[in-house]
Amino acid sequence: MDDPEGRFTALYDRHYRSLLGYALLRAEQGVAEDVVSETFLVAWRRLPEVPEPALPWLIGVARNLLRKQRDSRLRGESLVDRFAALGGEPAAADVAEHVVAREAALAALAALPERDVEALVLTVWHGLTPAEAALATGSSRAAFAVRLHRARRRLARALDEAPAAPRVLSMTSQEQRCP
Amino acid sequence: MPMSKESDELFAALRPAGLDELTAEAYGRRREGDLARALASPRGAAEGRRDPLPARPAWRLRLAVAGTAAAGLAAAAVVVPGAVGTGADPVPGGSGRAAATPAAPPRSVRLDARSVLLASATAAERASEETGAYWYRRERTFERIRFPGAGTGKPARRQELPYRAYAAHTQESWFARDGGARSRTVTGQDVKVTFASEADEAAWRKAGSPELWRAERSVNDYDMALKWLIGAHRMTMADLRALPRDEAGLEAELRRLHAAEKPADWDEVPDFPSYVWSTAQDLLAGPIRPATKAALYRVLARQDGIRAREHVRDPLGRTGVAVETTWDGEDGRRPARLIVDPGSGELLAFESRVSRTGEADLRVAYADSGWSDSLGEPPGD
Repeated sequence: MDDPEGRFTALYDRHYRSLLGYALLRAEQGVAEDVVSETFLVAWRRLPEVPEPALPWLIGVARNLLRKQRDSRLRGESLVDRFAALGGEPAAADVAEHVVAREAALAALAALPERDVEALVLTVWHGLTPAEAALATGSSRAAFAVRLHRARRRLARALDEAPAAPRVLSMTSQEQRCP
Repeated sequence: MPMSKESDELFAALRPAGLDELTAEAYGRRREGDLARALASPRGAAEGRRDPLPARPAWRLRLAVAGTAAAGLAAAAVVVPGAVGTGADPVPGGSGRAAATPAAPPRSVRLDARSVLLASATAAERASEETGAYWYRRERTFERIRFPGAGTGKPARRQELPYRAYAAHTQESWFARDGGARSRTVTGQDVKVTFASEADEAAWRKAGSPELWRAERSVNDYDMALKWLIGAHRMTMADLRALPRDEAGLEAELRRLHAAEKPADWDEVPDFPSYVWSTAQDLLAGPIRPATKAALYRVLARQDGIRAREHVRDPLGRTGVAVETTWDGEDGRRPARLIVDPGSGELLAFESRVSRTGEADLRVAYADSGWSDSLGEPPGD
């Protein structure tokens, strides 16, 4: 690559927000930001090894750094708890194609193993393919496919069973929030 | 509709709304610093470059920003015209015996870095052995702003700024001695942006006076034990306090740690002199015991390729002695500096990537340090 600084800057600009969004599910803000900084430092040092698309690789590095961060006081807090902590009202638009109680969906997810929820985070929020997400999480494609399937099935059931609750959630299809 | 589509849509809508705001805000605030620090560190080995020291391998939280500096050692000696030597080296150009004759005073004397460091060790040793609940440090950082866009959140501006601008900012830190207690940093204080010349400032104005550095004070509490680094080893405050307090013991410990470095953490594990240099840069202003600090100066004094330069002003205008080494960067060999006060044994500042014109990319001055008993308060007198 002729222009490593340009490539690196572009990587940063394209993926910073997505990566921090991921890290915030695992650590409080200050720590998450530091982990993302460190992730990009690693990317700079290993720039020739960084593949395209880069996001799965970056998430893999951040994930390892977060795991090393054993002191985090978020240890033990589940991903689903974290959704609530990061809170606000759900990111949703106006076409009410499905209506479901948010709590029902969150409750369904809370009952799942952490890594199953992570499978959805990576594929749905971050747009990774199952193969890329398997790479980022260091698992086999088969194992990843099982997790993803389990998480989707659990959510689908929640959809079916959800009452038309007063606190509703509406959404458009394929809403993509992350760059 | 297939199950996966429905459930994926549901999951997409569960994404916390606060996330976008949080990440956009952080992106604007962190971009400049993150890019500058990464780009200031040596690039990957596959680029064909072999910088003697890689970027700092482990992550160390914002409070240790300064640790991104890299240094390597190369044998060199400089003649400083007119400077007063503290060493016993003969006058350059004269024969060894000529030095014995009390003839005309030398016009120039090679300064002896070893003597400077040994004097600093002696002074450091005299400091009293105190402790408190927090190790306090106030540091002022001066760094080149290389890329536009800080605080704007605008994407992909890869061109370097067409003018030379610098940011200065101050950080205070309270490192809890008790590993379970809260530590704190206060960043973004007294932010000042300056320009290399009036022409540079005029160019900035012409560009519409864009915001170059976000001036925002931020109080960050850490309910976790903060770590220091020796190489890639993460050290707690207790680890630092337990370091050997004599030269031989400390050197043995540093060699042990150096030998235990994992190549996976580095592009290339630095040589031992470089390892000692970066340890000194990070720990001489840290909560190590006075005897350990003295030993660290002495171990550093034994390394080759370090030279001294007297009557140097640190970024805060304090006079000290610069101890310099040289490392190979992208644009040739450039010195890195520690500025010490041999009278007190304090590390006043360090500078890294000093260019041929004497201008540093990164300069950190330790304005104050010591033990404090209360979070948020500097040490009392």
